[in-house]
Amino acid sequence: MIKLENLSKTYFTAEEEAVSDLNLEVKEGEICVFVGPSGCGKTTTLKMINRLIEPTSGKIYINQKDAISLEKSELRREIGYVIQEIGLFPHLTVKENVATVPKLLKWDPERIDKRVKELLKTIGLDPDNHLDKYPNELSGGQQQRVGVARAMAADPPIMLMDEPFGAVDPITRADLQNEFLRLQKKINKTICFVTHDIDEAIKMGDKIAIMNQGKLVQYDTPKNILFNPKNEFVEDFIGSDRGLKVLNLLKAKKVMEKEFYKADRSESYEQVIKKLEESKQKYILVTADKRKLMGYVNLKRLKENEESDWEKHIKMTPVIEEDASLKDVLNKMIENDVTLIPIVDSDNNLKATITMEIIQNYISDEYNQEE
Amino acid sequence: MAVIEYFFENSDKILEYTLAHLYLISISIILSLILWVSVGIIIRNREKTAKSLLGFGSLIMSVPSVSLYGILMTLPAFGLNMRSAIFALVLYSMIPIVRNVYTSLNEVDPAILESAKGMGMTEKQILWKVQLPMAMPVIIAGIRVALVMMVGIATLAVFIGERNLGQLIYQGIVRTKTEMIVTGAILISLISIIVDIMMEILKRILVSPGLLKEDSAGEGK
Repeated sequence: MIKLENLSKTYFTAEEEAVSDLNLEVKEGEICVFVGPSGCGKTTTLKMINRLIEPTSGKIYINQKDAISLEKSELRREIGYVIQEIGLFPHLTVKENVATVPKLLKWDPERIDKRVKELLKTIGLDPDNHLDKYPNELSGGQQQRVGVARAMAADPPIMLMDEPFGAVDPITRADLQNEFLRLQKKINKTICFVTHDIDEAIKMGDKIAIMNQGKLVQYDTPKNILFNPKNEFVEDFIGSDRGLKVLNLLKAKKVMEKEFYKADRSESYEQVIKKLEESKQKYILVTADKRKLMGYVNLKRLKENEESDWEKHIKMTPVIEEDASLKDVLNKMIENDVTLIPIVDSDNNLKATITMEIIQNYISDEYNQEE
Repeated sequence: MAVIEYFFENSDKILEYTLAHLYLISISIILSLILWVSVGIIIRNREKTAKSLLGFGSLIMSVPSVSLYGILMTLPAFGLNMRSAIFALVLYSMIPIVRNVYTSLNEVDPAILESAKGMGMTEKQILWKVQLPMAMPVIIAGIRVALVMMVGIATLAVFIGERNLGQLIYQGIVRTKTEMIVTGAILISLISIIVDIMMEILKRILVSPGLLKEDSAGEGK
């Protein structure tokens, strides 16, 4: 739990307060997203929580403890911190980077070793291949994952994230966001998250704190922010495409179809053709061992090449996970010029499908209800 | 051929000169490292002090070494003594070492320092575990410059009574003995080259591979 009481910050050089009389409580296990135009005080607020910036006045409580009375470095070791630039140590390996805080806390080497391996697995990097790599051997997305792993290393109850996914390309960003949301379900941290991107705020936040000129304008759930904006500023900040923004709130798993036509590669050519005709679709998804997604085959192409080894016409298809937002799904559809995307789990097992049509129907329903 | 003949006939003397040369350089570089690396670290957060100190260092650099030796020689505390030579070499190595330590410590990416601080590292831990290891390539480059310069400037210390490889050149000129000059010149160059190679090896040992690969792996990002 994080509680901010009458928190203010004034810089010597500035006349106005950078953050002014902020009151806010983040419940345990919740993600609170601070969002607002640049200079609104969101980053200043975040950095006051781990005291990289000293508050001018006010109180900060972290799990009932007064953060200002604690010794700074000790306070910070209890708080995970991720920044946009990541700030991995280039001279240290992935393992040494992740082990930074456990080493500061003087864990024994065996425990550190175990923890680092476990964390790399959690963030989807193979420990055997990545432990001894240096940051410059990793892609931007991998570096960001290692940054998150490093912040979680000593299992701090609280994480502060300052535009953590701001420096990667939009596709990687969506992946990282989805991964992080899935991770959060397991680790259940109390998180303060800063972004200037309202879409990201809606997608990531359990609560959103909209700030302007150092003041908290509205602190509410994403849904309430979208449908009951407190004033004109919030309305403007959300933008006129509220309907589209709602897409960030909705998860693929809410609308996906679990019943759909699929073929397995063990089936014969005739069986597949029969299934295709039954479904009245132009294509059908193909699995291996009845579970793993292989791709899809096209009816026309199958018919043109009447062959027993129809498998070689299987084509790759883009996939998405069930925690992705409908916005991610639509993005992926448009990028790949398809109207159907299979949903797979982390082991590439085919679970469901999602189509453009079903999203359309769902949005209009949802939107009408709220209005 | 005369050079080889000269070399073998005078090998005792040449060995003595070489050792004297190496001795002078060793003492000077050890003192310089202790002094100037510490100074570089101390002034890392003091811009004004750093500026005036580095200005003073540049001034020293612009004094020709023979003049500096001359000046030192007239001072009672130094005189015709190895102390003068060591003092001059230490002074000359100030700029390459202090400047490189100072700038490389300050060039560490602020984002890296912020994340180090944010994770709860103390000032001291940040210096030893982050800043210095990251600054190492530039610091070693500075030491390398200082060392190679020392090998050369030590030669001129023969004017204040040092008996090192500079003697071969100096006396060779005075006595118009070409083989002496050439022997001296070759040995001095050889020391320079060996010092250079040693520094390259030191760099590979001390600098993290993560920093060395930076240029080649850049496109992977």
